Amino acid sequence: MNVPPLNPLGIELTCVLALLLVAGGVGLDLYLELTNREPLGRRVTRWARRFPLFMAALSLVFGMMVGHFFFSLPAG
Amino acid sequence: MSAARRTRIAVLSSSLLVVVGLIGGAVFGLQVHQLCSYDPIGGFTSFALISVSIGGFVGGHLLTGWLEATAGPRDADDRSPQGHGIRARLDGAAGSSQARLAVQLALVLFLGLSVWLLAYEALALADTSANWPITYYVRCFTHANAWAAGIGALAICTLLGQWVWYPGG
Repeated sequence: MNVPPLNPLGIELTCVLALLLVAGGVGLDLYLELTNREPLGRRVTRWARRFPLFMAALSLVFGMMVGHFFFSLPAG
Repeated sequence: MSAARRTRIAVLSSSLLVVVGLIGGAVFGLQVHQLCSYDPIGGFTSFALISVSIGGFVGGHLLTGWLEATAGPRDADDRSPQGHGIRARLDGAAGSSQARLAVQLALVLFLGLSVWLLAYEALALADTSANWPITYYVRCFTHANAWAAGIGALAICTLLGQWVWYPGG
């Protein structure tokens, strides 16, 4: 398989972008917990009950992305 | 404050520290060899990564289950009417329209980002001689920093267990 040389900036940006999204979610949930507000998980659950088809489609896309990135079958 | 709530705050704070540490490590200290491997992750490393991911997901669910079982009343409920302005009268709750807008914007941003990343991934996979697919970056990072990948996977899966597998859902 012919693959070009690695661009170190690419892996750095991929890591930082993905981690920033997670950090935002954690920061928000921590703020909600510290101020004794309804936690993020309960809000997500309520939202999923209100829009089950949208949530199912979102879960499908998210699951396909995770499976594609982390569960690779050996070639051949 | 209940013990479960204190524990959850500690877990969230630790997760935030781990994620911020990983961001700092990625920006300032990430050492990746130019010829790093993009082969599929296999053997013990794969087993360990999948195990900590599943363990973190179940652990996050159990933690929120403990929290719910011992939870006291919340001080602030965003659904209750607040304020006395025109918007509060129109919406019934001053914070609700802002919250809806924030959720809508976040969702649009997330979906737009997903489309952009998936389009790049599809194009890169169609011709791997031109660009590295994101999958290769993930594999390369794991081959070069297996411990960091494990800690990151544990923290992220614990959070996902708390968010998308909430008890009573």
